[in-house]
Amino acid sequence: MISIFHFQIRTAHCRSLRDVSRWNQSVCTVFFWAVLMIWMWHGFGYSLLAVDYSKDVKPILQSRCVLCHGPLRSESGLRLDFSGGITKGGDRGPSVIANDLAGSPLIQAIEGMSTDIKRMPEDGDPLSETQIQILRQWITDGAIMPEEPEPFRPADHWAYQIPHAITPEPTSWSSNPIDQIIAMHQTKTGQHPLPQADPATLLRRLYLDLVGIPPSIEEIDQFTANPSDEQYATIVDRLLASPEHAQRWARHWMDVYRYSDWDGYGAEIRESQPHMWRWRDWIVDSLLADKPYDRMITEMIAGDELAPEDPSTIRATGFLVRNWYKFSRNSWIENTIEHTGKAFLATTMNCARCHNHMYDPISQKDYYRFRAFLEPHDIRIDPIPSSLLSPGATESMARVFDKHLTTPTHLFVRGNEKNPDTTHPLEPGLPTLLGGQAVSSSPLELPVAAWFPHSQQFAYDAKKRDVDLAIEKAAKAVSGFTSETTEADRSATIAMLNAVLKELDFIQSRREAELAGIANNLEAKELESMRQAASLTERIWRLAVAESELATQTLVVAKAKATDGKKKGLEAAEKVLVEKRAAAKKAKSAFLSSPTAEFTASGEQYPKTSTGRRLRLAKSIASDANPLTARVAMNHLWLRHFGQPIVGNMFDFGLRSPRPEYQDLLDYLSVRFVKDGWRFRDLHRLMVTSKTYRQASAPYSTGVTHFEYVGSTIRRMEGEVVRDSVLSISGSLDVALGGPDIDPNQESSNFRRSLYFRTSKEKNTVFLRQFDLANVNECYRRTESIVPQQALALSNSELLISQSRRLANRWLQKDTALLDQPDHFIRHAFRSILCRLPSSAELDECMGFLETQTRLLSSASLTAFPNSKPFEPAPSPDPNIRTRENLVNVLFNHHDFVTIR
Amino acid sequence: MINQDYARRDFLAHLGTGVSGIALSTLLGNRFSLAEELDVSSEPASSPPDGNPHFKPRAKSVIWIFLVGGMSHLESFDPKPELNKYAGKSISETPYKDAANNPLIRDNLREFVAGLHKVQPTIYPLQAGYRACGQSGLLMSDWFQHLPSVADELAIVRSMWTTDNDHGAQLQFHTGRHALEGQFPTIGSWIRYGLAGLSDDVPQFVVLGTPLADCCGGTGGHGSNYLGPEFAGVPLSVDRNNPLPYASPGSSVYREEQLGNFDLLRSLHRLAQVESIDDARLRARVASYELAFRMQSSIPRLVDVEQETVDTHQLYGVNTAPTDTFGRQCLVARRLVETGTRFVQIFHGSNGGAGAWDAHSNLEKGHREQIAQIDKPIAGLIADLKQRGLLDETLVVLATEFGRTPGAEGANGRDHHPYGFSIAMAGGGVRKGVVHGATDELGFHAVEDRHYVTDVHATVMHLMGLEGRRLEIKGRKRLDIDYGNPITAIMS
Repeated sequence: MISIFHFQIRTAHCRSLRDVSRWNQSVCTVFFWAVLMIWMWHGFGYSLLAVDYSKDVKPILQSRCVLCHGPLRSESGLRLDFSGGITKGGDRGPSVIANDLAGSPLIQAIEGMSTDIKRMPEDGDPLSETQIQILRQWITDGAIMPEEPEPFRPADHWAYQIPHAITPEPTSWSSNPIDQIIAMHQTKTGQHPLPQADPATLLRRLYLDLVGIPPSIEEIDQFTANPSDEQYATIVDRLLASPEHAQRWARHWMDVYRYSDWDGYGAEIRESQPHMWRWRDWIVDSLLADKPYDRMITEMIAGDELAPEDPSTIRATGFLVRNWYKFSRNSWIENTIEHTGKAFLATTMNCARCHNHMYDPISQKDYYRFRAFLEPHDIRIDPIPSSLLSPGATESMARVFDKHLTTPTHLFVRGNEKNPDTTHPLEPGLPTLLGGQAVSSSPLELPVAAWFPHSQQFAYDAKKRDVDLAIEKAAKAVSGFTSETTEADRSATIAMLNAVLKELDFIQSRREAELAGIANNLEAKELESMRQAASLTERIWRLAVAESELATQTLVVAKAKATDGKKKGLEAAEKVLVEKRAAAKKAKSAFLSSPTAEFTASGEQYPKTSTGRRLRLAKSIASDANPLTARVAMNHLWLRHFGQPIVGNMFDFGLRSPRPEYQDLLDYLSVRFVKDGWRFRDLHRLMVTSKTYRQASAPYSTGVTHFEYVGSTIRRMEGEVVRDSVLSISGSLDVALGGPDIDPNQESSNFRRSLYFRTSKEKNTVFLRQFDLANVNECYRRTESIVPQQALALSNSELLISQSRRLANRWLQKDTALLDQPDHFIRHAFRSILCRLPSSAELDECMGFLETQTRLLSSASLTAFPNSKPFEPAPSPDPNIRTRENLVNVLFNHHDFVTIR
Repeated sequence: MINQDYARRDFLAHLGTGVSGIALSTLLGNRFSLAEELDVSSEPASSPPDGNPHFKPRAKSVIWIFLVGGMSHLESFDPKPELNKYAGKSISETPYKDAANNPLIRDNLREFVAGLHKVQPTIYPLQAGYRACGQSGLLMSDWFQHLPSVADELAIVRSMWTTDNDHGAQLQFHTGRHALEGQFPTIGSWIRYGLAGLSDDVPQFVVLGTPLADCCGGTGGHGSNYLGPEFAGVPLSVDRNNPLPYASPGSSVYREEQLGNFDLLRSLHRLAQVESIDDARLRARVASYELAFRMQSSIPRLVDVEQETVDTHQLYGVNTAPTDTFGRQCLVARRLVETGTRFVQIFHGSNGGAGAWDAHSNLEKGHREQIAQIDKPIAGLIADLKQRGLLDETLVVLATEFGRTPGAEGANGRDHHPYGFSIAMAGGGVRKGVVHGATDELGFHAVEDRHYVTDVHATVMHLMGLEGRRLEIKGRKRLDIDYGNPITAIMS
């Protein structure tokens, strides 16, 4: 239909122009219809009279063709995103031939009538008839198009270039290269640095930044007395080497790595794993040791392949274990892909799960090739030596290993797991623009400790220790017999001792058989007889256990008979007795059955090789030649020191992330980081000792990627810093390192640092939740809200009320002058809590408060908050002291407390 | 980082409403959220909301009641006499045997745990009778004694469907996404994000009742996810002594003492403001303390329904078993809406697990008990809103995660049924006394005017004057199915 109308339109139009006199009736009719049709086409937004490349053709190509035939992917070598590409064409030669519809591959492809060219686009609906018509018309008209420059190639994107460092120009302002680079920018823009921050403000900023707790009055005094560069540098070095620094910055990296303790329904574990805290401790330990970051990355992704016998390395794989999800292997793997990409490469791999990436040079196939690195891995729980135990911890560790060694990876058509493309199994690979290297992974032979963890001596020792203890306990019971001891009681106790003695026989015999099996240097017959011995001792032991349980139940029945009136209890006990008797009988017949070599192993055995894929992935990511990894890390560092990042989007350095204004700075830092061995401590030092860092803070600027002020911006403390600082100032903070996650209900009664409290999707600390707790699903940057719930938490929580009371009393006990001289108390409180002195107006307000509030508290008619429990310790009975407790609480609520300047 | 629109609003607030007006607008102006940080693409469209509706709203507030566990559509709003006719027969023995093999089953379903909930084959007759209610003749199960009195206010949608046949569907009903895909902003948080508050004294998105259990969405059921924590629902308890976390400093503190502390803090902040006059964060902090302080007294007052008249108590069933708890929640919902809360989400039936409506066995006993708890309070709520002239501007939603199988589970239960179920709405912009959509003769599949759960979201958004697509955040692409389509047939 369309083409017929179209023909008529053109005919009429031409004739009318050429020879008006030859108009006849029919032409007039046609012309009438033509005018109507033109009007209608215009009404629909199409002009078929003159097809224009830019206006009509290009939008169609852009929306339907360029994703595959454009700068991201030039499939078949064809690009349709600029005129040069269209003319040049692809594997089939020029894509359009002017005035030759049949000879233009483009038309054959979109019409889908050709046998040797697939209908295009492959995905989605075919082009509409109108769209096809426009392209046909354009070719018929001569395929006229202007010359266009070749559009930007993704390979040229700034973030995909290996960074190289400029040589900063020396300046009299500073010898720090960061300052020199900033100065180079300021020379161009005509900006000037802000003045340096006053020493007390600077020191508070530095402490909160590096260790997450404020300096003491004494520390401030020392520094303000001598705020020299040398003194400052000494403090920086001391703080950077402290465990508190490792704790503070571990929490930052926990955000980035999506740290999550286990989550679930009741006791059911649905996400992550209970032993996750070992990975948290690994992060802290790694930072404390200033472990090179390339090594950290490798340990997190492939610690089990890197050091298969070292649990303290393998615990790093919590990074992967954390993604475990009971209900969907695919969700688990998909989350791992997405966040491995975002955390280390600031790349949104996840956008290519269902289709090729819309913006970045990542095809859907690339996504699944990335998946192939992870396809074999799974999680398991291993025993660990007691030397790695923390108090209260269980002797196990969640870790990854390669379990599915031969499972192929298939592309899921449109991301639908129900529809895998099984015709093309995919090999692991990382796109070269993201630092992928053309090496293949070779399988690794694993040591015994890795494939048979329970065979390790410490695991056997732990088991034997338990059995020895049980023997000791049972023997003690036997030796405790008196004339009062009944026969039934004696039998039961002796049977119990017998059972644990037989267990010792069994585990010893099993140990010998298992070790012999591992050593594999015995004759088959010899090994077989050792296995049979183990099998026999096991059956003896199981028989002894059954007999012990029978004896114990006999005792229970005897006791139930002795106590009259408990008929129901007796009946139940007798019922169990029948069961136990049957079990004993069964154990006996098992014992008497013909010998076998089967016995219960000390633990599970796993594959003896690992694919080496994750190690290869880790090495590509943690490579000096990777253009992204170091930049991403430096951007995270800069954000947390300065309050703003250099690249605005923390997890996407792809094509939608424009070249940052301070790319030279980012690149200088990245190059230096890598060159100096990927050690964070040097870079922390470089940043915080810069004059740029030490400037007075600027108000929060409006830019994201352009900062008007390069320097520290005003921020709000994270919840962890709020809580830790309150406890630190009140003298209660426990800075002990490591250990299992703490019950969130203990937020106000347990004074450990906040990073040690359980945190997962549902299980976390109410106090921290008010202050934008990291979302465990994704938190590359904390949000900073200001909501009334924070005000309630700071003024009313048990934590704040209790600590304010403790603090005021601690001061007053130490220095009685603080009670007699209210202005001393006020100054002391300001300096402790806000790290500054009060202004005279503030001092006046507080003096007035102490007076009126004391008077108020001395009056008789006061209303207590109804129906709630009191918080400990109780307020002081002395109104003078109680008023001071109040003042302390108020200062913790001051905007300046939660604010880092 | 302060958006121009906010700045303007802030300025207007200063002019118009004085100090109290600053509170909320400054709070809104200081959302240092990821949303704006991500603004690095060149994509067109969405911008952070200015707090105003996109077009003329039909309602100002929403009361969203959610029945946890899955209320049977067959014993509430969707009568199916054929079930009685073929009771005890297998579906395959009825003329409707195709229902069990309908391709919709495969297309509809995304199982949380494969094979856990199967199609129940043996037809279980209707356990409740039905009667025509009100002038509209709306059909309603006779287990409801009070709801019929407001039948002429209700619009019932009988053609809902969802994709999860397990209780992750609770989360799904609020986010629009299957639980396996993770957590997303909930409908309440979108309203909270899109619209400025109506009062400075109360949170704008409040959660009443026990939120979803960990199994089935947990705090994600009223969460805001990537919108940022300030847009999440604030759980309030109707216990006037402890309505929200940290509402009280403990009984060893005097009210006068706390007031004294607060006055000092206010003075100190005022002095600080002299130093840095245009510090938006300080302003927001000051406002947050004002609001916190007001909330500290307003919230206990709001949840203290003893102040209401005896007549009102009776209307909602307050102080009478078994309606007391839910009646209080409905009454508090009205008080919140009256004061200016935008979105009140009430969970009914949370029991630490799948929910009390989950009638795998003893359906009649269980449902009768649950209905006895909500029947009078909901009828009372709608009647009360109406008599106060609030119903026209308040949207009431009554929803549940899925229906129950036409086939029997065990002797006397029904299993989970995501293929067709019912919800009800009333109030601002909703047609009165109408039924929309239909399931097949067995109540198995929604067959006429099928609506996925996000169509309910779209309806709520539309009636509140919001266009969901204009709220989309860059870098957080939403799909058509996430937006849904307003159910125009039930809009007046």
